[in-house]
Amino acid sequence: MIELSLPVWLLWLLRWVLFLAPLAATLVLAHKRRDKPRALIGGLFAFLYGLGTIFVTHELAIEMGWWHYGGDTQMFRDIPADIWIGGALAFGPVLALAFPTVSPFVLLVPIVIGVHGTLFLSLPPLLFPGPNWYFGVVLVFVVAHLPGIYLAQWTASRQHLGWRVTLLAIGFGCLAFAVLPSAIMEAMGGHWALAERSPVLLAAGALAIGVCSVMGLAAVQMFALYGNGTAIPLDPTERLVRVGIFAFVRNPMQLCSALVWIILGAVLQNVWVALAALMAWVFVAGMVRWHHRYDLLLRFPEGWTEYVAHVPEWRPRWRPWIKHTATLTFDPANAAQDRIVHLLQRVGLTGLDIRAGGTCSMEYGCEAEGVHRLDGIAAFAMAIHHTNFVGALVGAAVLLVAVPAAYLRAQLSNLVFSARFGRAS
Amino acid sequence: MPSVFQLRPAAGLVAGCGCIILAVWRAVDVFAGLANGSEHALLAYPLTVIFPAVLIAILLMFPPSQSREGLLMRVGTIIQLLLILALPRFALYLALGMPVVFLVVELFETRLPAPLRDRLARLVVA
Repeated sequence: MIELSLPVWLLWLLRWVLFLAPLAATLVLAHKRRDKPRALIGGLFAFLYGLGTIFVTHELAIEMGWWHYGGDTQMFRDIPADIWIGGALAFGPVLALAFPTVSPFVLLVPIVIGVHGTLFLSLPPLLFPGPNWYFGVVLVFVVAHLPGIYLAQWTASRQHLGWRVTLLAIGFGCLAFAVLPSAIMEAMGGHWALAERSPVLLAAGALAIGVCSVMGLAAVQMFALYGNGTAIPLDPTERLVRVGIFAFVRNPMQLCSALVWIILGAVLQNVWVALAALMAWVFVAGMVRWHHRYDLLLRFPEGWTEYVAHVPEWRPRWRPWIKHTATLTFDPANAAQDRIVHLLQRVGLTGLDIRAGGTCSMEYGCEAEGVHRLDGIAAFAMAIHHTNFVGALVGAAVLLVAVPAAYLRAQLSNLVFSARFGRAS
Repeated sequence: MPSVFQLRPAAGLVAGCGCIILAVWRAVDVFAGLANGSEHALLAYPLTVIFPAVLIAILLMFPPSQSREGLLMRVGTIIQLLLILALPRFALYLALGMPVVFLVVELFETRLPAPLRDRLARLVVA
């Protein structure tokens, strides 16, 4: 470890450089790679992901006493705003655009060990390391920087859609529900102080936020599964997604965000945070409708118009609007499947054709909407979307667990298979 | 209607000159602060002046827009960024209120009487 005593003027110069150097590098690299729009979009995603996760991990580090920042200029909740944004640029678009094919792991390990490992103790009065600071550095790199660069590279090469939408959802969650409320409270007054709230209020708030989040996350999942794209218009879906939660409401993500801000406002007893929900409406009225008119309406002229005519923007329908009837095949000889089908029929189904067949597990499909054969718990989860809005939320929650679990199981099986037979060959 | 929409050169020039004037005015503030022994304005200059100025420059250099509304959103964002430069005490409030810019443009395009809307839009759209 090197523990230098740097002059104050050099540290203030360092603060300028920590913001302006990544900004300049981003501009130069973006200009150099202007003929590769996917790489630029990847860089932007990495920046936004970093902005959210760096803030959250640094807040945690300060809370845990791993380090704290000195000075009182441009502080955003005890973090210098320029260093925060500069970090998101440096460990996002800069590294991703400068080294598009180098493994993020190879890029970052030398920085963690070489720069942070040696110079971190020389940063006072800009930054004061506390006990276990190295653990905090590793956490920031593992949670914020490493996934951010992977996100940029995967976006540029159109790989790993599932991981991409997961990282985008995490980044958006941090930005919308940690950074934005913090900024609102910085401007209008108020503080998180969750420890001062009653446990009952916190538990009720967490439960309500969990339920609302299902709606937003389900929308992201539907875009990836059946639209082959992300929720962000820069990396759009290839087809119009009208299944799942989209059969009930047109803007499930914006509705989820608005509801979470209202709940957060109630938990924090801060009316300004709750009023961020109004901003969600402003955003939809100003930006989302424009995007719908100039993108979705042009790409899917008939489908979009019909969809808009049947599915409301904000207030979810009780029963789904289904354009193309889906099929659920089950084995009547199987008691469990038979019971499930009877239960679904009793609740009432819309746009679902139930067929008896000799399948060992239930199968669901709707080729016209791009939903290829799903079986087992995923088939049940999609089928329950055909009942009502509550059923759809339950189905969405099941799918949010079942689909990633099936993917991870398949990856693990592949790994075991290649380890066993790859070695043998 | 044209297939692409771009900013009038005069409007771009006004925005560019406005940005430079505001950046110089804020730099004067930095020197005044340093003369009084305060380095706050100096430390804040990159984020509060250079960053918005760079964003304005990028928006001015963007290629023509596919829709007039898209171009007006750019213009609205540039005006908001100029306000952020001009009113540092209200910068955070203005940044938080950015979505309102898009709502204003949407209302302008969808609610204003066509003759008035077109006349106003022609001030900035070539």
